[in-house]
Parts: sequence; structure tokens; C-alpha cells
Amino acid sequence: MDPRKIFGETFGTEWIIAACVFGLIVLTVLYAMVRSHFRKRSGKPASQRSKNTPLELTYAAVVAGIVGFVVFTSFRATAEEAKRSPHPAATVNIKGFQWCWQFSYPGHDRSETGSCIGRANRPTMVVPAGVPVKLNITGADVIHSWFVPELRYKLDAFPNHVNSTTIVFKHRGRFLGHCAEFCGPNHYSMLFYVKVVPLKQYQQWLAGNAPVGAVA
Amino acid sequence: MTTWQQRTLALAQRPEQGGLTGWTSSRDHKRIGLLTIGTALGLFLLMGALALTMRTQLAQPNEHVVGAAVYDQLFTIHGSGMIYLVVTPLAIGLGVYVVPLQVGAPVIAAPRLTLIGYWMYAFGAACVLSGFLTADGAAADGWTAYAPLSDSQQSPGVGFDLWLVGTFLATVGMMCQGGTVLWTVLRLRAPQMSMMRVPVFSWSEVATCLMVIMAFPSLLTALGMLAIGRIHPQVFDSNVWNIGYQDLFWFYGHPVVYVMFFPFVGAVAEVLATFARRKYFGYTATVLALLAFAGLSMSVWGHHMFTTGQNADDYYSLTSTLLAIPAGLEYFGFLGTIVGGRLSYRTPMLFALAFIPQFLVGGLTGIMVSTPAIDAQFQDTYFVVAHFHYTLFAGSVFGLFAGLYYWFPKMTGYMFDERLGRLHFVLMVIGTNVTFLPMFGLGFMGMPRRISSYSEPGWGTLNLVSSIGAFTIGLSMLVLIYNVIRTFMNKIPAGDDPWGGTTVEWATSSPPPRFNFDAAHPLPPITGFAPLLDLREREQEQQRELAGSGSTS
Repeated sequence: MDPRKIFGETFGTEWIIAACVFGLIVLTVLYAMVRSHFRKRSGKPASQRSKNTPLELTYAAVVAGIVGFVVFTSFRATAEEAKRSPHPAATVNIKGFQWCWQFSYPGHDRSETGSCIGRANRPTMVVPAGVPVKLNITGADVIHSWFVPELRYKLDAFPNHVNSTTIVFKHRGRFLGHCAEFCGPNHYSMLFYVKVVPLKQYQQWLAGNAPVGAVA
Repeated sequence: MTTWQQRTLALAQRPEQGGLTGWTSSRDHKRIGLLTIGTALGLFLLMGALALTMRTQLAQPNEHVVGAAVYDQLFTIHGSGMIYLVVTPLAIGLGVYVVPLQVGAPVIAAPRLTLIGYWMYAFGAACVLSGFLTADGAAADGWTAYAPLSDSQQSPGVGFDLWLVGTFLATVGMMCQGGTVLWTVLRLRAPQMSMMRVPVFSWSEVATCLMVIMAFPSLLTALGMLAIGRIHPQVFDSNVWNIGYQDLFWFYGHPVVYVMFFPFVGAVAEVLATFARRKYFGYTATVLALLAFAGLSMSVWGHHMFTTGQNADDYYSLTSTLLAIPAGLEYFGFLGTIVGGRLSYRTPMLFALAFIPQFLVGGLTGIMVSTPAIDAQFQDTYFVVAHFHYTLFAGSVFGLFAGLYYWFPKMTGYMFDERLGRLHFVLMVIGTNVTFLPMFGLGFMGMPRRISSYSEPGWGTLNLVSSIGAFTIGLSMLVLIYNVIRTFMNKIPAGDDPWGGTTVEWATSSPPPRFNFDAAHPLPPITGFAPLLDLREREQEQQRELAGSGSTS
């Protein structure tokens, strides 16, 4: 699955609905203020009508319709995210610990980690572009959360529990990642990089024939 | 009258003392209410000061005004303080003061329990804050205190133990007060006041207190779980305890959001009706919406856990999005009331009108993050921080000020300075939006919450704007304090009904007598949910009839 695409479509839809609702309600408030102004001018008292049941029911039905559409959008996106590839092209085991990350590749003796103190010590997670990559995410001590804003995606790293997902990294490049679950004093410095490279380069790197710096 | 009602009245009829002892041991709901509101407002200023320290740190990248360890204490106590010790007590304390008056009761039910509730809250607050005096400082695990970070291995400091005890005490205290407010509406209403004549604010307190009683015990259980983890941290080696803690916590943690919101919806409703000079529109729909909302609020907690990977995402997305229906009906009531009203823009009305679009921003972004695919980006980022500050600050706190300015003349007997009230309002609207709007942008860019510093240069500008806004809010609070001091020095009498209120608390004196209504201020006939408005209409009709018969004879 491509979380960035799913987020973009879903957020794009819901943002527009929200903006329309906001606009309508603000306009109604302004309308009330203008009407009140003319009412005062003409010396008319305030309306004493205190209910309008048909209008209230119609309104509730309209809101329920919008809610139904939003729920449908939500369900569709969640189903899209849950899609798993039976044969991922790569698997990365991600472990969050206080206060950095370890990225290892089952079946290979590649493992990237660091201290996360200072820019130079941020570990890099290397993944191939355009193919499904399986991620197994866990925590060593407390709960962390693997978060890559560029992907518009995060998944929590629980100790004694593994969360798995399959992501297709569409765009090549180097992206910054964060820890999104508060995990103690150095939470703010738990930064890492995700480097998305062509499959061939990834395989070379995995076989130990190229250092991280050389893949680009 | 049942025996316990007689007993309550008999107990309450012992004479009240003045002075400090009189106030702190009072069985008068008005005094207990004011104690609760006053304590919470004092703590509100303190929590605001903590927020300003954080905003100073975050104003620019790579700043270290305070260290990470201290910063973590600041956001933990700011969040815990605002939720457990400020807005919840304000929501319930306002009910303790206003509800018995609004339903025409002479006393609150179980006044000593209400008083004990206050003291448990006050001691709880003292406990939480005393953490700052310990060697390792106050609690630093966030207001949610997720396990295993909060166990005794990860957070060995005494500060967290004090947080645990204090939060427990304050929560039990609020349950005591919430219970007596609910009991008062259900059992101590004036004889003519049927449930469908109970004013909107009191109805909002009924829905609130139902959630207090149903959801708060879950927090107590979760805190008990943490207490076990303080003794035997190895229990959290099992994942079921970690995820179980989150489930228990949010079973409380979502309804409490509406506990901190409903009474202010009620206050805004009363203010809108009063200053639009008409009956509240859609009363029945609003009451039903409040009850449906409260019921639904117990089924949405998992939307805080979409990114845990251990959650029924579709179910919680459905229930959370459904909340838009009762919320929409509440908004229909607001809008229906002001459309067709004659609006007068006094300070309470300004706060109530600003509540409408501002809370809406919080509500609509809430619907967005109830979609798991959107939450995957926004969970634990500044987008969520912006969202809940729009609900709690731009919404609830504006509703609170609408209510406080509205009932202030009733509570004190004095009228505040209108111009200073408006200045407070203007500064607060500017400050609030300048502070919290940029946070949506920061969250979109991916800035995580609860970080004590950041190195991304691109986040600097929006953070600086946000910090400037925060200090504008600070300035608006100084205007409020000055206004309160001036009001108590000038002592301009407010009169019984300065606003032309529609509910019975405006028929009694300001401040009301010990038993709320007396021979000089009898309870008016209760003919509906806006009895004073009905009374004024009948009087006008009679005058018209008199004038009519005078001209014909």
C-alpha cells in the first residue's frame, strides 16, 4: 500500500467537506447578525418560535448523509491500507529503543543503528523503491512510534509485540523520520533517515557491496 | 417530601459562619461552587504560565531555555493540570453553583459530600504540584502516563507517585461533586419543574455528570494498574497490560473531553438565548442530542489508538464520526436561536458567538482524525495539539468565559467593566487563533508533539508565530485580572437581573440568599424552560389589555 496516496485522497475529500460546513455555519452567523441589525432598526421584537420539527428532522437527515459518506471514505481507506502483498520484495525489522532505532534485514547480516545524538549518528533505513516492503515494528523498552512524515504514516513500536505492515515506497530519496510516541527525555532526538533506492542498488547494498553513503 | 430531603434541609439549616473557616467548611453549594471555580481559575493561570515557558522554548529551533527533563515536566503538568485540575473542576464547579439555582432547589443534594469532593480535589492538586519540590521533579510522562514508561523502573522519581495519588484524589473528588449535581437535578427540582422544563445548562450538567459517573471509575482502575506497576514493574513485560492500560485510560479519556465541553455548550446556549432576547431554539432536540452524545461518547475511545496496530479501526471510526450528528443538532440550536433574535453584543455574548466558529474548527478537524488513514499522519503531531486546543481552549474556555461573565453579577452582586471585558475578548480571540492555527501547519509538516526541541529550520516561523499568539493570550489574562480587581474595588451593584435572563436564578437576589429563594425573592411560577421570559410576556400582554380597555372606556 501507498500511505501517502491514501492519505492524500482521503484528506483531500474530508478537507473540502469540512471547509464547506465551516463556510455555511459562519455565513449563517453573519446572516443572523445582519437580520438582527434590521430587526432592531425596524423595532421588531425577537422571534418567539422555539422549534421547527420538520426542519430539524430534515437537517438531521442531511447531517447523517454527510456522516455516512465520511464513514464510507474512512472504511475504503482503511481497507486499502490493510492490503498485504503475499510476496514482499524486502523485509525490514524495525526496533525502537531509548533513544534511537535499529533497522535489520532478516536473512542478511545488515543492521543499521546509531546513538541518534547529533546529525551524523542518525541511523539510515535503506529500502527499495516501487516494490512492496514488509515492516516488522517493535520496541525494546517502552512504546515508541515509527513515523515518516513524507509517507504520511506512522505505526507504534510496542515492547513484547510486533506490528507488521507492507508499504510501497514510491519516491526515491532520503526522508527524515521521527519517534512519535513520547518515550522519555531524549524522545525529541530520536531521528532517523529512510533512504529509498532502486531495487538493484538495494540488493547490492544488502549483499554488503556498497556502504549506505554510496547508495543514492 | 422523602425523609432524606427533610434531613438534608434540616442539616443545611444550621447557621453559616463567615470568615475562612466558614467558607472552607460551608455546606452552601454557592460557596463550595465558588471555592471550586476559584481554585481552578488560580491553577488555570499557573498552567498557562507553564505553557508560556514551553512556547518560549519552542519559539525557535535548537533552543534550550530549559532542559529536556524539565520541559517534559512542564508539558506533563500543563496537560494533567488543565484536564484533571482545571477544566473538569470548572465544568462541574459551575454546575455546583448554578444548577441548584436553575432548578429552583434550596440546597444541593448531599452538601457535605460536595464539600468533601472539593477538598479531595484541592489536596489532589497540591499532591500533583508538590512533585516540583522533589529531587527528581514532577511527573514527566505526559497526562496519559502510558505504561511501561510510567513504571518504577522507567520513572523512578517520587514526582510520579505524587501525580498518581493526586490525580486519583482529584478524580474521586470530581465524582463526588458530579454525583451531587446529578442528584440535585433528578430529586430536588422545584415542584412545577418537570424534566422537560429543566434549563439547557442544567441538562448539559445532567449529561456531563452521567459521563462522570460512568467513565471516571475507568481512570481509577487504570491508575490502580499503574500503582501495581510502581510496585511490580515486571507486570508491564506483558503486552496485554500495556495495551490494556490504554484501553482503560481512554475509556475515561474520551468521555472526559465531553465532560470538559458540555457544560460550556450549555452556558453558551443560555447566553445566546438571553442576548438574542428569545427562547432557546430546538430545546427538545438539544436535550436529546446531549444525551445521545453522552451515550455515544462511551463507545469511541479506540480512536486514540488507531496507530497502535491493536485496535478495531473501522468500529471506532464509525462511532466517532457518528458524533457529528448530535453535535450538528447542538449547532442547529445555536444557529436557530440567533437567527431571528435581537442580538445585543455584551461581553458574555461576544464569547458565546466566538465559540461557534472556533469550536467548529476543533470539531471538524476531530472528524478528520477519526479517519484512521488521516490519523496515521496526524496522531501525536501538532495537528492533534491544534485540534484539541481548538476544542478545549477556543471552544470550552470561550464557553467558560461566556458563562463566567454571564453569571459573575449573580455570583458577586457586582457588575464588571464592560470595556475591559471586551478588551479581554478581543485579545483572546487574536491570541487564541494566532497560537493554534499555525499548529495545524506544523502537524501537517510532521512536527511530533511532546518534543522539547527541534532542529528543522523550516518549523521555526510557524512556531514563532504560535509563541507570539501565546503571549497575547497571557496579556488578555492580565486584562481579566485587572477587571476583576477593579470590579471588587468599584463595587457597582449589578441588580437581580442585569441581562434580562430567562431562567429562575435571575429572579433571586445577587448574590442569592442562603437558601436561594426567600420571602423577598420567591420562586416564580415555572411554566416552561424559560419561565422568566414567559412571565415578562404575560405581563406585557396584561399591560396591552389594560391599555386597550383604557382607551375604549
